[in-house]
Amino acid sequence: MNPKDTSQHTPKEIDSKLALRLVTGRLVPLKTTLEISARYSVVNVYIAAVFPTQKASAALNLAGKLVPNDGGLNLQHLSRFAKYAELPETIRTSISSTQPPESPFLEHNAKYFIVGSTVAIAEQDLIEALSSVLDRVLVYTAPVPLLAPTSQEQATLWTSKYWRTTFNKNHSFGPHPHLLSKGEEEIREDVAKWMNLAAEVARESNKTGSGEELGVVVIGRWNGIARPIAVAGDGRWLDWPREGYGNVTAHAALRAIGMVAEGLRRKEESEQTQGTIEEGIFQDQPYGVIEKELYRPSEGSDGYLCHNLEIYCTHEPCVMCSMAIVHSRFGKVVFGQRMPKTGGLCADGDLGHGLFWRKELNWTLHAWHWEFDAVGPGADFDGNA
Amino acid sequence: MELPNRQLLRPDYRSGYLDLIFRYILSLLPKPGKLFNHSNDSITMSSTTPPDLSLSTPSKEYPLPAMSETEEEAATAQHPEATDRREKTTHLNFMRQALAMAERALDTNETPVGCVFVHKGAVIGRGMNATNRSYNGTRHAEFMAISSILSEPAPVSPPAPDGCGPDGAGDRHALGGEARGRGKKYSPDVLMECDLYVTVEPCIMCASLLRQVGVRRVFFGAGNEKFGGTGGVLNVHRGNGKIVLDESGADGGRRREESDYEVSGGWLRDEAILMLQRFYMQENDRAPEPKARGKKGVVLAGVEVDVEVDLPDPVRDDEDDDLSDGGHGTES
Ligand SMILES: [Zn+2]
Ligand SMILES: [Zn+2]
Repeated sequence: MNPKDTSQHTPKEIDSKLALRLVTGRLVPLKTTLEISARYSVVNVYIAAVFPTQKASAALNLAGKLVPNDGGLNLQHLSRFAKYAELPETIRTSISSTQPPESPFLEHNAKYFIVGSTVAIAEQDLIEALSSVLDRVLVYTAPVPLLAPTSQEQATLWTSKYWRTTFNKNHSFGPHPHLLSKGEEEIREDVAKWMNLAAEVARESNKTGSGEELGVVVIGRWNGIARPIAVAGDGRWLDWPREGYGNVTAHAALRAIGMVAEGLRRKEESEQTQGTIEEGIFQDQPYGVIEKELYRPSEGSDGYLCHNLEIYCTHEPCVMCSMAIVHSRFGKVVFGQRMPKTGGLCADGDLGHGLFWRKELNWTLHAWHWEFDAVGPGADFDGNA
Repeated sequence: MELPNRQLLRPDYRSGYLDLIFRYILSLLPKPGKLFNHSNDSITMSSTTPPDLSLSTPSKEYPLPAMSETEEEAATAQHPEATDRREKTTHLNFMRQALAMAERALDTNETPVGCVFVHKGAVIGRGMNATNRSYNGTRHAEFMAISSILSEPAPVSPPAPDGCGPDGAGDRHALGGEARGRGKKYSPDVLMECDLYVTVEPCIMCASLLRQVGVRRVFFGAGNEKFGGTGGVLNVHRGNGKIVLDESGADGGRRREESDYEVSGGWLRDEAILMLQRFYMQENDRAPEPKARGKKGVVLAGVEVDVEVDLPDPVRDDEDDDLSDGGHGTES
């Protein structure tokens, strides 16, 4: 099997091929793990009133000694001080219920400040220490957002709910919004086409019995023109006993990555120097009709793995395939069906790995969920895609 | 756990591989607290004391499973220390074979990560990282070993002369003639009875592969804080890495799932890291062409080195290289 790359398929021909079953949908950027966790995490802190207000810096100094570094928290997104009028209504209500109406703590301009994590010191010790610098002491415990907000709206919401919160647009929790929308613009026009092609190859895999109804399409985009480089259906049952999970190394994404790699190898190594690569159990050769027809590895990437290529998947790839996509340095990934139990890309599924954009990993990419307007292919599949 | 003063030690530290070296250096410094977080209920590797670093012994002991049911074994089991030592020797022996594979990778300019699969006390497959040779960033040692085991043809005749474990032809996974009609020596479910010994902690991708093929136990050498899937970054070996928060917000309360596997790290870790260091020196000596800068890197087995980035020379300025920091996060 040595497909030649002489056939020149224009996107038009692909269009007509796919005209039969056109499924439309819309792109929804995935949330990152940071965006997801930032939304939910709160931490309890001590908040103390400052009376008289001139003692603010003395109280702050003392707090810094009692609870160094806010007790290990990074609360840069929260104002240190807030006026009584700026406190959330629920807190004002509970303070006023314990104070006589003429209490200085209830004045509009009465100052309050965050002392730090409640884990660092006992409330009684804190009150005692504060009474050495303040004339009257009022301390309460309240939840505040642990992580910085990811948008101005979130900051506004948190301010009304917890404490004065500021949004810093330079603080990154995910892909740069501008680059993300630029990326989306690039692919918007033809995403439906590639998703349909992925669905088509998935059907073929299923029909021939070589795999489950799962498929991917790898696209290269140069000067605004997108071309398929490799198309792969799931191949887990190719040459494999029909039991268990099948050939895990023949998941559609791994097969497509293997096809691109094989193209690179042929390009980089002249025929004389070409070493032999044992095939083993890998299914990196195009198998079905669509796969063979659209395999054009010579249009491959810029020579380094799948650097900045795009991959369109019928299903959210499993943890293994998601990480393979990261290792291969794809630039964009789009998938149809979410796989909350097994998928590795979403940060808001059951697993929550969000592998497309994690600070620990050395590569990040843009990721979208493509919401079908109709039922997509392999809708009942619930294994590892 | 945050390592102390990492920034001070190396402000431009970026690559996973250097990270390993750092962890190694830092591990020699006394420090309190947890070192491993990839324990689960059945194995305990969490620790409040630093592991013994004086020798290349595992960071924590693995609870000992019964090796065999013979009377002799049963008798030994009454003397835990003796079994302990025997067990440890066995693990170290297999890990040395994994290191030999890593060394082979080093000889062919592949990132030196190697592994062996052990079935019923015998090595049935070996693998080494092949990412450069294959131009494929997913060809990690674990993939290569599994591929070689499951593609090995069935011996024609006589059936399985060299044995496939102590059980020889009696082993239901090695069907002498062919496994389940594939014309192969082993059926895929042989992996469910295998232990893996790998010189570097499996990356997230491989950890998921191992989970899906149903491997039984994993012993690794060096931890991998950048890509590790069995404790380094995620805990794929337990509940597919799902984090279950209990009421106090702590990560706990996991129930054991069927595909969970046991993991033990730190076996011959120093040797594994030394191997990576040698690779690093070797790649430096090969002085890559300047024009390849920012394009070509050496693709590692779940540890990534950009050859000319992160040289230990503090004078060098690598700020213009954007490769190691990934894509869109740093573009402007
Ligand atoms: Zn997969
Ligand atoms: Zn790996």
